[in-house]
Parts: sequence; C-alpha cells; structure tokens
Amino acid sequence: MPFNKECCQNNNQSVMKKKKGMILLLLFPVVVWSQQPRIPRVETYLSETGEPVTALQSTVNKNYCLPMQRYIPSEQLILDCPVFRNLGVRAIMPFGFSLNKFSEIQLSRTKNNLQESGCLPLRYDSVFSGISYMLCDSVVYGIRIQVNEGGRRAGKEQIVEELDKYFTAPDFSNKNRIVYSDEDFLVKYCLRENKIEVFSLFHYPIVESVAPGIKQKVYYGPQWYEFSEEDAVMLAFFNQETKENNVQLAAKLYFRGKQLTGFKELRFHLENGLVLSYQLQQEFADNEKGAKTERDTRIFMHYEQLKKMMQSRTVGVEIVGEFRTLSYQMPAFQKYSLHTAYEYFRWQATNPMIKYRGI
Amino acid sequence: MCQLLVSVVMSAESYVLLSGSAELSAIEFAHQQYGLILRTPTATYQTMNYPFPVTLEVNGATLTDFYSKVEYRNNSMVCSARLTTTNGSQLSIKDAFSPDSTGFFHLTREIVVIKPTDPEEYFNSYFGWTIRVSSSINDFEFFVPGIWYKDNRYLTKRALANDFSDNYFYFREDRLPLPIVASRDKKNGTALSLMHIDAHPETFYGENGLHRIVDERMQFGSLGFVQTGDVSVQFVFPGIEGERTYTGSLGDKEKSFSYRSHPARKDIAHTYRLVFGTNETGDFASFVEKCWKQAWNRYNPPVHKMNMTDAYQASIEVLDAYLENVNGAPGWPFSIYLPNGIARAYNYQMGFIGFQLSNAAFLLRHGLETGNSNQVKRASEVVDFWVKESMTEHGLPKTWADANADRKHTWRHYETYMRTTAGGMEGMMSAWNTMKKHGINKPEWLNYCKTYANWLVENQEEDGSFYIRYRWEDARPTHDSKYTTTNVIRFLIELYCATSDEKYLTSALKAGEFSYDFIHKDYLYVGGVIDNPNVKDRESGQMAIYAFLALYDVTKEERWKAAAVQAARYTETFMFSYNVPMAFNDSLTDFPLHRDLTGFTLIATGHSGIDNGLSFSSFQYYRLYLLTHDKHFLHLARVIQNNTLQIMDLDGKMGFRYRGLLTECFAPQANRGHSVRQQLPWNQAAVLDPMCRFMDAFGEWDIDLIEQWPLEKKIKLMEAYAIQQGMLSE
Repeated sequence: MPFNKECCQNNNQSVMKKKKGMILLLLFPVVVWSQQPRIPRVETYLSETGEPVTALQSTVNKNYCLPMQRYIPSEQLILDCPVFRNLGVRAIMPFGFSLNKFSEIQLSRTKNNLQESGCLPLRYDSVFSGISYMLCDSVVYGIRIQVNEGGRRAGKEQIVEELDKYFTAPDFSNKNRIVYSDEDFLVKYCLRENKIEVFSLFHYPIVESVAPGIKQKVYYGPQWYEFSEEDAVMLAFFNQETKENNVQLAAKLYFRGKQLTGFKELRFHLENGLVLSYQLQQEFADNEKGAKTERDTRIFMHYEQLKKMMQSRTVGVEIVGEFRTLSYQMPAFQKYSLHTAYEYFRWQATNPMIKYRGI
Repeated sequence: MCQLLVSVVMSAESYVLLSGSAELSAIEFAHQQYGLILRTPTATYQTMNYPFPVTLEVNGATLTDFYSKVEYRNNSMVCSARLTTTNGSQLSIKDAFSPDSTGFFHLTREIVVIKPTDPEEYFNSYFGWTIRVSSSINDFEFFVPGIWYKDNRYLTKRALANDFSDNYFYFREDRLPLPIVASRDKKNGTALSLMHIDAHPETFYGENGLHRIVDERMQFGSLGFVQTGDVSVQFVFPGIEGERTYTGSLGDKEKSFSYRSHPARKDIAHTYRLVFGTNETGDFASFVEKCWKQAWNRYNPPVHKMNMTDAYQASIEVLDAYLENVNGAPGWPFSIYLPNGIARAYNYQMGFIGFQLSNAAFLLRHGLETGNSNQVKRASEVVDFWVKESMTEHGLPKTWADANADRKHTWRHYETYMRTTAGGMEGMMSAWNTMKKHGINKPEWLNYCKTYANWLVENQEEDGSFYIRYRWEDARPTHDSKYTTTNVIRFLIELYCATSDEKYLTSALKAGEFSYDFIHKDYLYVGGVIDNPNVKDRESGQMAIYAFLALYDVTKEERWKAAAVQAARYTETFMFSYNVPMAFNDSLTDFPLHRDLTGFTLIATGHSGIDNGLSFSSFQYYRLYLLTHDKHFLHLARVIQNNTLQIMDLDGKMGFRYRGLLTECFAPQANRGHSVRQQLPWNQAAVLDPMCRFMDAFGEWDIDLIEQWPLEKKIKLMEAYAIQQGMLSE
C-alpha cells in the first residue's frame, strides 16, 4: 500500500481533534468546579484545606524573616546601623546579612528558625562591651549590645544623647525602658539590664499561623507600647488568607496589665481630623491551667482605611475602655506593621474590578 | 441457664415506674444485681448488653454491670452502681429515672471517677435499648434529623447511614438539628425515640480528625443505632461517631470511627439527661412529626427579634452597591469576599445561586417605591439583558453568563436546570408584576416567561414530570432524575394567574400529580440543591412546599395542602433548633460569637454545611399556620424570619463592608462557625424574597405585628393573595 501522506495527516488531525475534545471535556468540569464557591461538603473542605490539628489548641506557627516574602535574595536590603556610629560602633554585621555555614559565629537554636549568636566582645570601645545577633533563617534582624559596666553612668548619658539626636524623641519611656523608632529601626534601651536592642523593622520576622482553612501573616513588630512597666498594649496588623485568594486586612490588639480590661472601641485619629473607629470585643477564656486568658482579638479593616492611616503623618491611637481610656501617638514601629499588612494586601489581593473596569 | 435465670427473676421485679401505659422496671436478677426492662402495650425492650443496664467503654474495652442498689426517691427511681476497671479505677454511676410526658421516661445520669489509678485511662458511657431481638436495620424506618429519612435511598456513597450492611450508626449530636433519633417498626408502626435533653454540646478548637481525642472539655454526645444481630438505639458520651463519619478526610469507600473519650479523672463532668419512650405512628410522615415536635417542644427554640426594616434597607444597599454593568452585561458578582466586600468575579446565574432576576426585581421594586429612578433604570437593564440575550430558539433559556472586560459576555455550556430556571422565571414574573403595579407595562418581560412556559408545556413528559436538567443547545435532557418537577410548578401557576391561560394551570396540575405520587407519597425530597449530588436535601422540601401550596391556592383541594404540610414538616427538621456553641477557645470563627445557631439549616444529606436558606420560607410557614392553625408553624415562621438574619452584620460587629452582607455557608460541627467567607447573590434573595411576599400579601413584613391583627383580617388578606399569587392580570 502506497504511503498516503494526506490520509495520515487526516488521521492525525482526527486524533488531534479527539484529543482536544477529550482535554476540553476533562477541563470543563474543572472549570465549572473552580467557579463554584458553594462548597458541597464544607466540613471536608475545611478540614482538608487546613493543616491537620493534632495537639490541643494548636495552630502551626512559622516565622519568616522578610516581610512580604517577595524580595529575592540577590536584591536583599542590607541596612547598616548608623545609630551608634558616633559612639564608635562601626564593625557590626549589617541587618539583612545572611550567615552561611562557613561562618565562625556560634549560633544557638532558640525557637524554630529563630536563632541567637553568643556575645561577641567589642575590643576597641569603652561605651559598649559586647554584641550578640538575632537571626531568622540565618538572616540578621536584630542586635543586642551590652553597655560597658565600667563606664555605665557616662555611657547612659551619652547613649540617650545620641539616641535623642538621631530619633529626635523617644516613642515612650518608663523606669526601665526608653524606646525609639523610625521607619527603619527600633532601639530599645533596657536600663536595668544595661543593654540595648536594635531591630531592623524591615528584617523583623513575620509570623504565619495556620489553622484549618485560615492562614494569618502577622507582623507583630518588635515591641509593645508600654504605658508603665506593668501596663502595655501591642497593636499588630496582619493579613488573613483563605481559599480562592481571599485576602483580608485586620489587626490584633493585646493588653498586658491588670487594669486593662473592658475595652470597647479602638479609634485612630488622623492628621486631617478624620477618626476611624472599630468596635472591640475583649474575650476571655479558661486556659488549661484554669486561669483566664485573653482571646485573640481580631479587628477586620478595609484597605481604604489603612491607606488613609498610611497617608497621615501622625496617627493617634485611642483605646476606649469601660474603666480607662488609653491614648498614644502610633510609633513608627507600629506604623511599620500597618505598612507591611497594607503592602501585602496590595500585592496579593485580587481586585476583579481592575479586570472589569480598568481601575 | 441464663434464660432460666432471667425468667425466674422476671417475676421478682421490685421497682416499677409508670408513664401512661408504659412501665419501666428494675428487676433484681440476683442479690443486689438489678437490670432494666421497658414495657409498652406493644413491645418489651431490653437494655443494650442485656441483662446489664450499665455499659462503659474503658480504654476501648467494654465494661458492663448491674445496678447494685435501687431506691425510690421522691418521684424517681434511683439506680446506682460502682464499676472497677481492669486497672483498678473505680467509677460510680447514678441513674435517676422519672416519668416524663405520657409514655416517656427521663434519665439523669451522673458518673464520677471516685478512684482513678491511671492518668492515661479514658472512658465513654453508653445508654440504650434493644429495639427488637434478632432484627436488622431493614425491619425499621429511621428518623435522624438532617441525616436519615426512612431508608437509605438517594444518599451519596460517603453519606452517614448510606450502607445498611454497617453495624454502627453513631451520629455526633452537634451535626443534628435537634439531638433526637428514632426508629419506626415497619410491622406495627411503633416508634422508639431517644433524645438528649438540655444538651449544650461544647467542644474546643482543635477537636478534629479521626484519631482518638481524650479531653473533658468535650460535652457532646452521639446518638444512633447499632445492628449486631439485634438492633438497638444508643447514646454515647462523649460522642463517638462511626462507623462512617464526616470528621476527617475519608474517601467514598472508607469507613472509620472518630473516637472521643473523657479522661478517667476525678474532676471531670460526665453528666447528661435523656428522654426515651414510644409513640404509635400511622405512617412515616406522622412519625417524623411526632418525634420532631417532642424534641422541639423540649428545646423551645428562642426567637431572636431582629429589625425587618433595617435588614431590608441593608440588603437593598448591598444590591445597589454591587450592581455593575460590565461591558453591556449588567448584574451582581457571583461572590463577594468577606469581610472586605471585594467582588470576586462577575458572572451571572439566572436563579439558584446567582438569583440575578429576583435581585433585579427587588431593586426595581425599591426604586419604584422610593422614586429612585437610577435603581429602576439599572435593575431594568438586568432584566432586559436576560430577555434579549438568554433565550434560545427552543424556548429553553441559557442560565449562566460570564461578563468580560474586553469583549462581549459569553454563555456557559451549563445545562439548564429546572431549579435555576424556576428561580429566574419567578424573578422575571416579579419584575413584570412590580412594573405593572406602578403602571408600566413590560409585555416583553412577560413574553419571555411565556416562551419558557410554552416549552415546558410542550416538553412535559406524559407522566407530568420534567427532567432535572436539559442541554440548552438542543433542549435534550441529560439526567434521568425527575424529582425536581416540583420546582417549576409555582412559576406556572403565577403565569396562569397573570395570563389566565389554562394550559399553564393544566401543566402545573400534571406536574403536581407526578410530584404527589413520587415525591409526597414516597417521602422523597431529592435533588433540589443542584450543585450537590442528587440526594435528599432541604431545598427540595422547600420547593415542594411552594409547589403544593400554589396548587392548593388555585384548586382548594385538601390533598395539596396536606402535601405542603408534609413537605414543611420534613424541611423544618433540617433547621438547627437548639444552639451548638462555637468551640470555646476559637477566636477565628466567622459566625458571630454573640449569636446562636438556631434558625440555620443543613443544606442536604451527605455533609453538615448550613446556611440561611430557610429564610426564603418564613412566608410559607406563616401561611401554613393560618391554614392549619398549628401554632408550631407560627413559632417556626417567627424563628425563621428573625434568626436567619442574625448572620448579617446589622450591628456592624463583624466589620463587613456593608451591614447587609452575610456569609454563604458554614459548619456547625468540625471547625464550628468557620465558613466559605463569601456571600453569594442568593443570600440576599433569601432575605428579600419573603419580605416582598409578606408585603404583597399583608402590607407588612413583621409577623409579630401581623399577629396583633384579628384572625379574620389575616385570613382574608391571605386568601386574596392566594387567589392571584400576588400577580396582576396581563
């Protein structure tokens, strides 16, 4: 039988058509299914989309070093620490520096992927005596500087003078702590322990917790806002992610202190006079030891509101309680948490109206 | 020897409780060894593991015993026992029995670990009755709310109670709308039911999966049946589920128990109250009604009063905000993310999930009533879009369109389901009617309905049925199920009322005959939730109510009313009528912690997803109250009307972008209160549809206000509505 090229081509075309048909046939239910948010078996979905929970009250927590996770290693932002340059601190490892396995710095594993180095002596300075590094996934995000005991008094004055010069004013201070921050750094001077902690806000780890069907990426930031040694609040912004690219913006509010109960409302006072208000519901539950512990307080927010907060040079925070109202100016380190959540939302959330209206 | 012993001691019974003609006896088998017998006029029941009345499971092994002491105390018979485990731990059991409602008894059980020996030891307690010695599941019909209706037809392979060759049918009570199970003897209609009363089925976050969990914070039980030569009804505490379970990830053919136990420790709470007894029932429907009402009356679900006007305004605000005209294709997004309120995708389904046409009618109505011409214009564009773009040459409409930013909309090759067209066409009728009421005639809108109705008339099967779905390209059926025939009946009758064209009524009656014979008589409400498998479900019940009630309205034949009532009684058993609290240490629930679950409804058998879908039906339940004077229907209508609105963010506490938004579907059991975190257009329709119907019928939407009127007035208004279904004439 002579070779019939046309026939062969026709056969091939026919086979190809069948294959395409089969592919389309197989693809169709997938497409239909993918457009169906109505879940026939919700429980199955919820249990299958989450990590299996085996321990009581467990959520899976992971720490990531870089906010937003979208910076490629070759473009890592490296920050030097200019805060104490006038006091002779020059030769520290910059934030963002990534240790490799050949490093001679000894690390001790503290928790998951968070590590700390041992204290390295500073030989040529009389104000500080040693330095240790805090790392996440081997990337430097914080340092702890030990103030020289011998020059303590003179050291403290010099240090505060330098910090005031660099940051203009502290975010807050009390008997034991003076805390400063700007858009890059947070400096925490612990007077009693005679040490200084410096954190790069950019490199500070975010914490991802995974519950069935829900992921939260929280930028807790490095510091509580302390009203006194006993009373403090932590305001952390985060992103909640669930199926079908459902990304939400929210904040958590934690309280520390015996009198900090009965809070009803969280207000943000913006520079232009606008006040953003959110209802608060403090909830308490018995923990395993029988004591009352505060539940996670989740406050959902809309991105337009966060944007307005971002645009405001100053943001006054007011936490209205039944017995006590707390007010403070949102420090740079808390605003960085806000910035992180907002940026993540901008890059990750789908706005279908862009598709439909080109906005 | 054992038989002899039993027959001897049967005459030596020394403690008896009476409830109506039922008798509960504690029989002394030997010195200080008492067992239990329940006698009714038609049967004698032995305890599970007879002759032992006490059954525990300790470290996975069964431990049984007699009561060692029985005494009368007040009006109760108090039985106690002390059991020693193989590890040497000692548990004391105190069972206090007392007469309950006629023919029923009440048990309060308290178990205390008085001498624990092993910190690793765990246990469960059981209580149950053998329904009939030497019997099988096939000898009975069953009622387990939301799970098991009569038999195992039309259930998925993975569904609980699907396989009658299984031995164990334990169901966690937190997936039951009320914690009751009951069996009905096919021979004589005697029904035995077991109910957990005062249940507060608490659990903690993380109580999930198939592995055994031992924790005293679990305060839920399981109810169910066991067939191991004999069939028994049992209660297990805390609740073990199996041998099929929805807890964990199992395939269709996989079976497993999910074990839950309490630690054998001194400080734990292991107390519960049960009610058991028998009813004589004429048929399966009356069996369901009796058992359900007994549990309902016991729990007496609260009405959480909501502001109807506020809910209406908030819903209209949502419709107004999200209506977009995308490149000539106007409509509402298929879903909206919550809480931020960002629209996920603009694609349009005529009815069912998308409810484009009904939502258009609601916005149109609001626009006309408030003089908002922009709303009227935009809503009319939606209706016009469907009229101009969706109808095929066959007369069968396309039902699902995709809006595209860069080109004209496209139609999905998605079959035309009766369910989808029914919702769509009723929306179209409503839009036409609303315009007509405001002096604007839209004959093309009504013609659209006629085109489809004519197709129905011409393509109705000889037995009066319609297939569940047809391919719109060639108008051929693609599935052989006919159980959704009910779905289009109300639409046909509405069209008949508007046009007076008898052929639509004739078609509706033919469809009604089929539905009466194969749905009502067979107690088979199947296939209405078309994105679920073709199974027994709640929405088929709702569709049947609408169909049979409409048939009754135009014929006044009692059998249609009876069929509507039966469908209503079936449907209500999917509604959570007691509160299942959120896991106490879970801060991530989507269901608001300050609300309760009563009023939310299981969607279908085969899973435990719940939603606000019964909100659609408050109007029909209220009408059934006026028709039957059964106050139970009034209570139900009030619960539905108010409690289903609880999931809207009317008080702003959930931080949704609009107060009228609500989440579509959530879970009462595993990961309680966690949802799909999206709103679908049908959610809004479910809120607005009954409000508009109440307004059409009574000029008022709050049942509590209507109830203040004289009965004659209410009935007169209802009858005026029923005659025309609220429709004007063409």
